[in-house]
Amino acid sequence: MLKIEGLNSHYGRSHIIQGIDLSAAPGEVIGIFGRNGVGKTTLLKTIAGWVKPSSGTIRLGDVSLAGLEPDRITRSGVGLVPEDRRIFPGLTVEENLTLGLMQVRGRSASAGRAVISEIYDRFPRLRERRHQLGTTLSGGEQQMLAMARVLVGEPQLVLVDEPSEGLAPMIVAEVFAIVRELKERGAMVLLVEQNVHEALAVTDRFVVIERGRIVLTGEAEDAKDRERLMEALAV
Amino acid sequence: MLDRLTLSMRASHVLAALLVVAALVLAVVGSAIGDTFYLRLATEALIFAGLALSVDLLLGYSGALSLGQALYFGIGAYTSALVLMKVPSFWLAMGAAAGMTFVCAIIGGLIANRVRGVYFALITFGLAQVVAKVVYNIRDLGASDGMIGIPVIDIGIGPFSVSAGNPVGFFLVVLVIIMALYAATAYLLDTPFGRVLTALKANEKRVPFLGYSVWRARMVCYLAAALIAGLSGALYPMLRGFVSPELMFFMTSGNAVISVILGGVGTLVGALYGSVFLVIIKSVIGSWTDHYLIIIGLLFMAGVLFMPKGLIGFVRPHVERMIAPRHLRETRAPEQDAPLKAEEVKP
Repeated sequence: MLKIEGLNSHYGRSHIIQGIDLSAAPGEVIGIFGRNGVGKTTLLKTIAGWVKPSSGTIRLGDVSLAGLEPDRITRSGVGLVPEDRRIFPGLTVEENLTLGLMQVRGRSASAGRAVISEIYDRFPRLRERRHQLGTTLSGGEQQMLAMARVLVGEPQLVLVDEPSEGLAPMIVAEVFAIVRELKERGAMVLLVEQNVHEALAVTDRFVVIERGRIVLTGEAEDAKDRERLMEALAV
Repeated sequence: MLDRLTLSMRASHVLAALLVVAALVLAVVGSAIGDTFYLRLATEALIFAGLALSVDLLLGYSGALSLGQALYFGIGAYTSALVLMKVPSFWLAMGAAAGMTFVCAIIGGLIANRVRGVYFALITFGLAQVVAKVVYNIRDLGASDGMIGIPVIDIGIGPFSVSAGNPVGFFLVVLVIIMALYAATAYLLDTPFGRVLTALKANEKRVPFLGYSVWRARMVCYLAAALIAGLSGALYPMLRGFVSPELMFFMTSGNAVISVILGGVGTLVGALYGSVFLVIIKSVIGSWTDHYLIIIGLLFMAGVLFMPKGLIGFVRPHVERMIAPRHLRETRAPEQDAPLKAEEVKP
């Protein structure tokens, strides 16, 4: 269970996240929508520890995440798939995946290999390219790798930032299929996405952020909520 | 299946093996003609190669430029000298040098690893200068004159014993130790920790989001590099019979950085070749003119301009092609941070 209460964060003097309350249950996908620059990415970065919250609480199960270093937050079960994918250029596909294993402490080497083997079954393209450097992959493959690297950590909470950014429609469909799989595995997903129509197909609930505050919440299945969402976003 | 990173490392190992062969040939020829000067020079080159190796571990693999790595070289040298003056034991001197370097590196690492980039370079430079000046003023450590009269020791290796005064024997001992340090570093870089270092160099902001502590990884790398420098430094008084504060000065650190850049940053073996090259150049040009630093400076600039990847950066791709299996021979090594492909179409 994720519970965020009264979360505030700043970039210097700019007050970006202004008192956000948000919760998520296991297996729930929450869409985070809003125009550019309203604080969607900053919200994810604050949860992941990239930006230190100035006040408020973030609890994942029994663990309080607010103020922890990013590596501790990651090891507490939070996976971040950032907008720019963050593939390590000097490492092969397999090494990028192996680095992701560290997210789970105390896992044996054989268990780690089994997880990576499962990932290869799920992403055969990555198996084919396991010995290639990450930068030789296409943008879509890099996105697959970024998501696969988070999957090997078996996180409870996955923060996905604009996963369809700059990708061809076929790849976008694949990305959202992975989000669905995460949901089926019982992970909580916070999905920041500009492609609202595609995103609504995989989300359970949504929030709209404006100037760092949640101004609208709704159920993805509810027609009236969707209508209000479209009005709020002027889509 | 072999990948490009492993292939590059194997090519480095081939070049390291070539260096060992050349060293053995020198030992045989030197022994046959009764040479002392060139064997001593080569021994010194190998000792400073250890220092350069430590700089390459920091610079080439974690992206941290140390301008004061001579600090740990000097600490190793002074500790070794102090031990040898009391107890002429090679292993005790090496053990004490490693221990003292490790303790000092923890303190130095706690200070230096608080900052990044140019600030890290300046802090490491400052630390070395401060300690060098302190040593320079301590009479018990010989002050500005350094410590002289370090006895020539016998190095016991199992049933064998080699005198540090024997040019061939000591050269071979140093060769074994420096190559063992090279092998240990290469092994470290081949572990998952080595891959974390590679990731750290690529972009350290990304690393914590995979569950790794950047500070811890940098600290481990710093300690490992200091140990390599300290162990190399411990050999110096055995060769020269004295130590002086100059061993900790910027000149020594700067030479190590120049060796790495000339040899090839991030190649490991480049540090060894670069150091040998620099010592030879210094000796050869130094025998013609006292102004050899001007020529080394010009060579360094030419090297950076025309061979930015260094000697090994230039040679290694050819070795890679020779030893590569077909599936890697047919594909060109991609440039880092290559642009994304056309598949990504902005909607």
